[in-house]
Amino acid sequence: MSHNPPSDPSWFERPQNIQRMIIGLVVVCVLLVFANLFYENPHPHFGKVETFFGFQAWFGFIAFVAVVFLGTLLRPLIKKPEGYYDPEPENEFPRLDRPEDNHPGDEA
Amino acid sequence: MNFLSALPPGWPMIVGGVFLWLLPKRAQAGGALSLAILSGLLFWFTPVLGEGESAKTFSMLGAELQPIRIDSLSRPFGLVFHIAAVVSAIYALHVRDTRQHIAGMVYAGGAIGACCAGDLMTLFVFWELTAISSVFLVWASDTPAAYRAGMRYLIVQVGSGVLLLTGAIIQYVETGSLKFELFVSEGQTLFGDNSISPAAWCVLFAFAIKCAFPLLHNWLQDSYPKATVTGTVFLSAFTTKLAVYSLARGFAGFDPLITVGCVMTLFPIIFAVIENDLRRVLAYSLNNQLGFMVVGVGIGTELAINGTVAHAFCHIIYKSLLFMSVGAVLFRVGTAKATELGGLHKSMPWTTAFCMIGAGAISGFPLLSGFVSKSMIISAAGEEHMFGVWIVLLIASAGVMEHSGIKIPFFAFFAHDSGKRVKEAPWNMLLAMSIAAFSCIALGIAYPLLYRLLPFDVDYHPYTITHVVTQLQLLLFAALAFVALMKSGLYPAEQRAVNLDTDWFYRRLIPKVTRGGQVAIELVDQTFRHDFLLTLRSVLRMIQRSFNVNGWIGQTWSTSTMAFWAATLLAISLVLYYT
Repeated sequence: MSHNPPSDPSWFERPQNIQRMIIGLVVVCVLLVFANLFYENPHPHFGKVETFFGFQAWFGFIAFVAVVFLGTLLRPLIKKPEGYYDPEPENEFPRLDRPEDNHPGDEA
Repeated sequence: MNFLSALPPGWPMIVGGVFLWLLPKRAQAGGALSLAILSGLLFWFTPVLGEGESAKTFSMLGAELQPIRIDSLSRPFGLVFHIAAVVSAIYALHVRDTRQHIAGMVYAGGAIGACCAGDLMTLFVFWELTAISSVFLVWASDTPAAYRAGMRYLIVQVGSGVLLLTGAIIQYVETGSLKFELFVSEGQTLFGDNSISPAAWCVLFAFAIKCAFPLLHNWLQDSYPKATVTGTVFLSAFTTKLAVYSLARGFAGFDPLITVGCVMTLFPIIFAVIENDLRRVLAYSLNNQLGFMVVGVGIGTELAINGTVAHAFCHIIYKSLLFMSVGAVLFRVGTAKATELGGLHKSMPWTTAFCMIGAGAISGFPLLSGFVSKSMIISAAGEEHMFGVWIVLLIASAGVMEHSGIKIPFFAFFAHDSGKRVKEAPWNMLLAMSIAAFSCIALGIAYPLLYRLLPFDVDYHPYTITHVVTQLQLLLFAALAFVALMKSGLYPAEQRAVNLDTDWFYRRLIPKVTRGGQVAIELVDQTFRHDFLLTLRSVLRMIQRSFNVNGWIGQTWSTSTMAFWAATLLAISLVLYYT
C-alpha cells in the first residue's frame, strides 16, 4: 500500500464532472415528477395519499433528511471515544489472512 | 441411494467439513468449495414434498421425529444457503486457516439442515450446531476483542437454543407431538385470554434472539464486524435468515410481528447514519432488512409470505456482496473505517463497481434484485390497507438508500481521497463478488425464475409504470437530499468513535453493578473472616497448650489420680446403666 498525495483527480473527482452529475440528477428528478402527469395509478391502496402529486418524491426527500437529522441528534447521546470498550489499540484489527502474512503454525 | 436420502440436507458440508483438516493446508479451501458444490447438487436433485404429502418420520425414544422436510417453504432457503456457501467458499479460497474452513462448512451445513428440519428436536440440534460452529469465525480474528465478542455471541446464541429446547419440551408434554408447524392461530395475541401457549412463547423468544429483534439485536452488531474478512460473509448469510425461515414456518400471520418488524426497520438506520465502521454499518443495515421480512411474516398473507421468502433470497446474495466488497477493502487497506477510507475507486475499480451493484440492489433500484422482492412486502401491506406500516416501510426504504445505497459506496470508494493506493482485490474475491453481482442483476431482470421458487403461486408484476416511477422518485429524491445536505454541510461528518447500543448494558452497566456488590460482599467477608480466624486460632492455641507435654491433659498423672478417675467413671456408668 502506498500513500500518494491526492494529486491525480480521477473522472469522478473533477469539479466540473461532479457538477454535471448533480445537474443530471436534478434533471432526472424533475422528469420523474413530471412523469406523474402522464399516467394514473391503476390500483392505489391509499387513494388520497398515493395519488397526491409526486408523493413518493417529496416523501423520499423528507424521510432522508429526517433520518440524517435524527442520527445527528442521537450522536451526542451515544458517542464515546474509540478505546471505550477496548483500550488496547492492537485489538482493533482482525486477522486478515493475506497470503503474504505468516502465522505461526500455518506452514504445512 | 436410500442411505444418502436418509441423511439431512447439507450433510456433505457437515461431515466433510469436519475432516477438512486431513487435507494439506493449500488444498483445504478447494476442498471446502467442492463440498459446498457437491451438497448443492445433491440438494437440487432431492425431491420436494408436494401439496398434502408429509415427510418420512421415524420414532426415537418415543417421539416421532421428522428430520428432513423439503417443501416449498424450506426449499428456497436451502437453495439460497447453498448459493451463499459456494460464493463464500470462493471468496475464502485464499485463506490458509483450517479453523475457518471447517467452521464455515459446518455452519453452512448446519443452517441448511435446520431449515429442512420437520420437528423441533432436529431443529434444536442444528440450531445449536450453527451457533457453536459460527463462533469460530469470530474467534479466528485472533484479537482479544474478537475473543470477548465471540464469547458474548456464543452465550446469546446458545441461550436461544436452550429456549428453543425448553419450548420443544413443553410442546411435547402438552400436545405429545414435536412437529414443527404453525404455533399460532388466527387472532392470537401475546397476552390476554387468547394468548399463545407457553411453548410458543419460548420458541418465539428463541427465534426473536436469532432474528435480532429490537433490544435483542446487539449480538449482531457486536460480533459480525469483529469476525475475519471471510468469516463475516459466512455469518451474514445464515443465522438471521434461518430465524426468518423459522418465523415464517411457526408464526406466519402473528400480528405483533408487524409492529416488531416496523421498529426493526427504523431504529437501525439512525444508528447506521453515525456509525464509522463500515462493517458495523452493514450489520445495522442487515438488521433493517430483517425488519422488512419480519413485517412480511407478521402480515402473513400469501403475497406477504412470498415477499418474505423472495426478499430473504435476494437479501442473502446482495448482503454477501456488500460484506464481500467492504471485506475486500479491509483486506487490502487494513481498516474498514469510513474516516480512513475514500478515493479507493481509483485503485479498486472492480470492487467499487460490484459494491455499487450491491448497494443498488439493497436500495431496490429497478432491474436489481431488491426491487422485485421488497416491493412484494410493501404491496402486501398496501393490500391489507395497513397505512402506518406502509408509511414506515417507505421511510425505511429511504433509510436503506442512506446507509447502504449511498454511505457505504460513497465513503469507501469516493468522498475525499485518502491518498491510499492499494492493489485490486485478489482474483477469487473478485470472482465471488462478480457471481453475486451477476445474481443481483439476474434476479432483478429474470424475476419469474425467483417467483417460481416461492411457496405460493405468484400473481405479482413488479415492473408496472407506477411502481417503477414511484420507486425511482423515492430513491432519486433521497439521493438529491444527500447532495443537498452535503452541499450545505449539514451531513454529519464521519468521526472516529464508538457508538453505544444495548450491549452497553451487559458490557458496562451490569459489570459495574456487580462489581459494587462484589465490593460489599468482600468487605463483609473480610471482617467476618478476620474475626472468625482470630477465634479459631485462639481455640487452637488453647488446645495445643492443653495437650502438649506441660499441658494439663498432656502431662503425666500420678497413679492415685488415675485410680480416682477410673473409679469415678465406673460409678457414673453404673448409675447410668441402672436408671
